[in-house]
Amino acid sequence: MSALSLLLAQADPSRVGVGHIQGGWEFVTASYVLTLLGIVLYATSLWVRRRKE
Amino acid sequence: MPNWLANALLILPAGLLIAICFKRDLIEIGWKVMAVQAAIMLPVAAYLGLVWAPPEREMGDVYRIIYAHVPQVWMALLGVTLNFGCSLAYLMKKSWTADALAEASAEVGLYFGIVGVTLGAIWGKPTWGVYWTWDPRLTSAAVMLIYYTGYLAMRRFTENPDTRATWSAALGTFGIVIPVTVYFSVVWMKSLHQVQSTPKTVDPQMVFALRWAACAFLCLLITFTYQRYKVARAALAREVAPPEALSGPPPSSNDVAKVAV
Amino acid sequence: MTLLQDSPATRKPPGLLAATLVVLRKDLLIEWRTRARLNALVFFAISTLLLFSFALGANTTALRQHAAGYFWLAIIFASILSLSESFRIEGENHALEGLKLAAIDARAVFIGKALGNTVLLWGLGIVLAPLSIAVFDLKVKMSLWALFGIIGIGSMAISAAGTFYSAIASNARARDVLLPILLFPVLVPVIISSVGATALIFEGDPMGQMRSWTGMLGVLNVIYWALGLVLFPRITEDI
Repeated sequence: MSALSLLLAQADPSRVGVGHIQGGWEFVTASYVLTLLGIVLYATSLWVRRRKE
Repeated sequence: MPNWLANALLILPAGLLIAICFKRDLIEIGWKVMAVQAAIMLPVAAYLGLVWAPPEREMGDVYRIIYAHVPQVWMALLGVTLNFGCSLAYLMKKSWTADALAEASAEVGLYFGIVGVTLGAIWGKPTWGVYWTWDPRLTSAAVMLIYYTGYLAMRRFTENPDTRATWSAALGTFGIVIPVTVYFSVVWMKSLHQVQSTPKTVDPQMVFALRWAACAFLCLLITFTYQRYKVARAALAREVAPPEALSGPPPSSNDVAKVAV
Repeated sequence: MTLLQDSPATRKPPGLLAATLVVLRKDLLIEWRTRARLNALVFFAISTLLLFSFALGANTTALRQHAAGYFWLAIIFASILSLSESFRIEGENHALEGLKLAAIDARAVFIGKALGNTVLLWGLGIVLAPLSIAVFDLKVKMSLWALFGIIGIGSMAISAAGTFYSAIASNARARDVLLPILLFPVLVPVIISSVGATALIFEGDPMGQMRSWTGMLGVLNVIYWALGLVLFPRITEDI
C-alpha cells in the first residue's frame, strides 16, 4: 500500500474530495442565459437604432 | 463527429466574405445568410455544449461554460483586431467605410468582451472559488474593455466628423498594444488562468463543440457588425455629404466658364 | 523691408533635430519660469504615497513588500497631471497653431514635448525614490543608479504614450475623463515591467530576471515612440 493511500485512509471521509468538481449547473445555466440575454438585448438595440434612421 | 464537418461550417462565412470583396452588392444578401446561419447554429451549439459533449475529468459539468465564454472572448479579440485593421486602413486612405466599420467593430467587440469577461467571472466561482481573482488575463481583458469604452466615448465627444475619424483611427492603431497585452499577460505574470490549450490535448468531441460554437458566434459577429455599420453610416450621412456624391469628376474650367457666361 | 527679411521664403525651416531642441527648450523654459508643474507633481506624488499607508493600515511588512508598486502608481497618477498640463499650455493663445504655422515638423513637436515630459517625470522619480526608500524602510540591494536608470526608461515609455493621448484628449470635450481612460490601459505592460524591475532592485535578483524586465521596457519604448512618431503628425493636422 502506498503512502498516499494510507494517508487517504486516515483522512476524514467527508473532507476528501472526489477529485472533480460536482454539480455547478447553476453557473452553467447562468452563463448560457446571460449569453442569450445579451444577444437579444444587443439585437434589439441595433434594431431600434436602425429604425430611427 | 468528423472533423471535416467542423471545417465545412466555416466555408459559408469565409466564402461570403471573400465574395463580397469582389462584388459589394452581395453584402445585402450575405448578412441575411449569416443571420440565418447564426440562428440555426446557436441553438445547436447550446445543445452540443450542454448535452452532447462529455463532462470534463476534473471540472465535471462546470466546464461547459467554456462553450459560451471562449468563443465570445475570441469574437471580442476579433472585433478589436478588425478595429485595428480599419483604423490603419483609414490612416492610409481616407474612407468613410473604414471609419464606420471601425466604429461598428469597436462596439461589437466591446459587447462580446463584456459578456465574455462576465462569463469568465462566473466560471471563476466554481473552479477557482472566487468570482474575481486579480488574474492577469482577466484583469487585462477588463482593462481592454475600459480602453474601447474610452474609444467610443471619444467618438461621442467629438463633433467634427473628419477630426473624429482621424483621431479614432489613431486611437485604434495605438490600441493594438492592448489585445497583445491580453494575449501575453499570462506569460508575463504568473497566472491562474490556463495557458491556451491546443486541440491535441483535449477530447475530439469537445473540440468539435467548441468549433461549432465559435463558428456560430462568428456568424453573429458578422451580422451585428454589419448592422452596426449601417447605423454608423446613416449617422455619417446625416453629418456629411456622402463621399459618393463628392467623388464625381470635379467641374472642369470649361464648365465654370459657361456658368460665368 | 524688415518684414521681408524674416519671411519664411528667405529662412529655411529648422531641421528635425534643431526643431526638437527648440520645442524641448521652450517646454523646459516655461516649466522653469514658474516651476508650478514640478512642485504640484512632487506634492501630489508624495501625498499619493502617504495615502497608500492609510489605505492599507500601518502594516509595515505589506507596505515594504509592495513598495515598488506604490512608487510607480504614484508616478503614473502624477503623470496624468503633468501630461494634461503639457497640452493645456499649448491651448493658450493658440500656441499649437503658432507652432504649426512656424513650419516646424510635427514629429519634432512630438519628440520635444515627450522628452520634456520625460525630464519632468524622471526628476519626479529621482525626488520620490529616496523618499519612498525612507518611508517604506526599503533596502537597495542593487545600485541606486540602476534604480534611476529604470525610472528613466519607465518615464520615457509613459511620456511617449502619454504625449500622444494627451494631444487627443486635451482637444476633446471631457478631457479630464478621457486621458486616464485611454492612457491607463496602454500603460499596463509598462507598469508590469517597471514594477518588476524596481522590485528586483529592492529585493535583489538571484534568478537573473532583470534583463527580461529591462528588455521588455526597451521594446515597449521602441513601440510607443514609433507609434507616436507616425501617428502624432496625423492627429495634429485636425487640431
